[in-house]
Amino acid sequence: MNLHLLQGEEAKAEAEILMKVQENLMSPRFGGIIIGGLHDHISGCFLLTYNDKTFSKEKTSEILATFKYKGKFPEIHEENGESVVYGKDIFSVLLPKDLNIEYKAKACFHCEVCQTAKCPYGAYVIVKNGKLKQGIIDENSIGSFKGRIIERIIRDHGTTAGRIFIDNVTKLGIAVVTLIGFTTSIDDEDIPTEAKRQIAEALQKAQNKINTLVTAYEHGELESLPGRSLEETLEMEIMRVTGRARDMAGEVASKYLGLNNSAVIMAKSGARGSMLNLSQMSGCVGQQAVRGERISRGYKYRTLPHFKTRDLGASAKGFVANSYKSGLNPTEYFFHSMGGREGLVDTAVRTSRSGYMQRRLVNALEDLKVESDGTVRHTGGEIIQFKYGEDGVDPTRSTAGKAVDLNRIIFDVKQEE
Amino acid sequence: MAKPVSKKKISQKKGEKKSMKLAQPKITSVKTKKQIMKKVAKIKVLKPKKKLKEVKSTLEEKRPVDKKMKKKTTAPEKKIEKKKEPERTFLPPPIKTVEEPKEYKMIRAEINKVLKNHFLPISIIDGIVEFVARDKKLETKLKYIVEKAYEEYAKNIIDPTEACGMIGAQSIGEPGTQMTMRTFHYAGVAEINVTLGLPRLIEIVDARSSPSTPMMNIYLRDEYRVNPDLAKEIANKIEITRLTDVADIEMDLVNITISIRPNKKTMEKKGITIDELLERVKSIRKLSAKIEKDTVKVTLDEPGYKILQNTNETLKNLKIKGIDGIKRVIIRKEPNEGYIIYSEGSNLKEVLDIEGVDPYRTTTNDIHAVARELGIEAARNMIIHEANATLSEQGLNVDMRHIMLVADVMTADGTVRAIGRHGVSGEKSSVLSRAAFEITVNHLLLASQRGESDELNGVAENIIVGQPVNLGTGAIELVMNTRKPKQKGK
Repeated sequence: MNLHLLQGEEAKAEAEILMKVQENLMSPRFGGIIIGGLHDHISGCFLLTYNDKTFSKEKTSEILATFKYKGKFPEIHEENGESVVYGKDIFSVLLPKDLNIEYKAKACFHCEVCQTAKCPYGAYVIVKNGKLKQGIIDENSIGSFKGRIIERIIRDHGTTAGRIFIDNVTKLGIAVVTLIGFTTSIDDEDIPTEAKRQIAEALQKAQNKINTLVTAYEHGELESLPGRSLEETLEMEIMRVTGRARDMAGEVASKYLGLNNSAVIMAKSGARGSMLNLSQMSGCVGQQAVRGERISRGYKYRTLPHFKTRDLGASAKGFVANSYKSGLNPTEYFFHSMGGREGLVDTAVRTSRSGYMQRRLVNALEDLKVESDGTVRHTGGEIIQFKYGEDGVDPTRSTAGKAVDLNRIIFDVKQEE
Repeated sequence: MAKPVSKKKISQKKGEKKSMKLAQPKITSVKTKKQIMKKVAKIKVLKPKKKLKEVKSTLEEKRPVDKKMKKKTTAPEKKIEKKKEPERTFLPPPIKTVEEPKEYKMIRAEINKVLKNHFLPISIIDGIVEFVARDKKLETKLKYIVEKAYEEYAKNIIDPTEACGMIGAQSIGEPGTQMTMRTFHYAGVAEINVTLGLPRLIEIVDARSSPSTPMMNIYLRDEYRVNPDLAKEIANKIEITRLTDVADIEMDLVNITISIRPNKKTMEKKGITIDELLERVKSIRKLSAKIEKDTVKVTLDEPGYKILQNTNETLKNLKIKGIDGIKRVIIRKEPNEGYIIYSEGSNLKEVLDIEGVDPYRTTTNDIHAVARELGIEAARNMIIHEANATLSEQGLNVDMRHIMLVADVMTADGTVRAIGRHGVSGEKSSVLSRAAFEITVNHLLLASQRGESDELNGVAENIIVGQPVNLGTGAIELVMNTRKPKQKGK
């Protein structure tokens, strides 16, 4: 094993300033954080702050002890003769006292008119003077790339405070998740027979729609879209119908999967997986595609010998009506593998292509430097920009690309009133 | 192997040529600086709303410079040709500039009073004005807001010696691995296929002479954009219509004639009369045509089966109406805008000359066409816009400053150069840097032939010789007294 040690004071100082993990929490690519909580950290914080969850004094101590909390004990409330602590108050323990922020959580339902402070789902986060007043803490609060709270703490209190916050919030999440218990298994995707019937009905409807489209096409009654051939029109229409069918199945499935379901909690909080994954597991997998079209390759005029030649129906062209849980039949499995293979090839080709592009970009731009007068010059002296990025602002320090976070300044001014 | 004598001569000639080329960059760099200065001055005065006349005049200025950069053999002829080109007959009216409301101006003046001589980017000032104008209560706090904004701005300024190019390159390269490879996607208009994702990004960076899926968004002016008939008329002028699209062509092998039967319905739809069609047919050499009833009869001047066959082919491809390169158009009504024409295929020059087209907003994804017609500054903006659109379409977030830097490097010398060995990287002044990239042997060989020297200014050169790089912390030399902290301790 080779051990590389820093030689000299300058190297030590540079390593301290440039190489520490806490100095690299912010990305120069877009001026946001790239390090944050994930998986159980997010699930844990979600469970902690969702629906005014309460903990007994003992449990609270247990949670706080995991990150060796030494401050004031969170506020104790009397409820039904028991002394309890609100989960939101436990979370607030980590927040700096001058934190004021409002934003939408990941679990937001995207209502047409946001009711902000009166959000019926509690998905609008309000932090006032370092106290979580309302809202669910999820990916948009502590996740990497999106965590608004982490980002704000780093901006206001420096990278050390940011590092400590990330350390503590992740420990808090794990503590809550281990305390409450959190598990998921295949029966999380179980849906009642009524839901199954509804899904089957929706799929049958789509099937019928496709059949009528195909017969219309065969009888030459199909009207082509402007600028498209008849075949293309048919394909586009069918793709739309199959897409809709999948969405319908997903909608039905998610209607029966509530927030008492661990898998749904993970999807909604952004910890892992998505509602699409869930609807594919319990509802219907949907249309498989190669090159953005329904599967059409294989044998002469047909995809597999299981079908008649020139069959344009849904199942002959790669529509998977089953869910992952109910199981795919042999032809569906094969089509699914075709779609999956395309993904693999895509990744293999893409890495080499984007790698070469990156090498060329680096070689073309490596000699550029911001001079003391604010201009960007080639090492030869040729001026490329008179002011870096037209405003001379470092993207790392910018707020999502903006030189100054005006929204925040205005928000603070209004808060003071 | 050829004789040594001739070889020497060739190499000498090559050497001469190359030395001339070598001398050129100096001249061009001076010119580019001037150009940039000019541009900057112009931008400050006019902002983006340049009048077409001025754009044209700058274009005229630019042309000779562009020509010099190309090979000398073709330059003189083209120059003469271009000068003979007739002036544009139709000039659109100047763009209507919306006067800013008085209160906006007041707030602006107030902000400038607070700022005194300090610089704050216009975008921020605009933002403050917007906020304050919307909420009157903030007016009393204006001084505080501006001071706070300036304080934050000063804090966010980039450090000197920052290797901004390297950061920019990595920032654009990194999301490439997350992009999809799928070439076709529907962008806005479902009927038009556009290359997106990684292939499109590579295309932009490569500065290909024409995009793989050229397309235009043609905006219309005034009444044209609200009246569907006028919009349709413009669309007909733009979309290419070939003879086979509007008529059936029949060869009569007995009489050696061709009869063209126009389809009345489509002719009407495209707004073509039979006389116009006849005119177009007559434009082909060595044939005569006349109208008989509803058909156009074509007879050959020199009858023969071979010629008949050939004429039939030319007739099939005969352009009746429209602009070359524009294959298909789609008219869409957009909210708050009216009718917009989307086209598959692109020909910026001719589309801009059509009356009713708004030349200020019409865009194409053909960057070279933009550079030719509207100038290098427009091409730079186009690169930024296209690259940013491609990245954000994929849901990737990259700071505009990185994209701007790439666009500026590509257009710094007044032409659109590719990122790669045929463009920016191949024209670097340092031999070692060029050799470190691609075609190593050729670069080293030619450099030794010419006796080039390397100033060791860049990154690659310094790494090759094992020195600290002249960027970032490497650009600063520190002397430190190591004893001092110890004394403090005692």
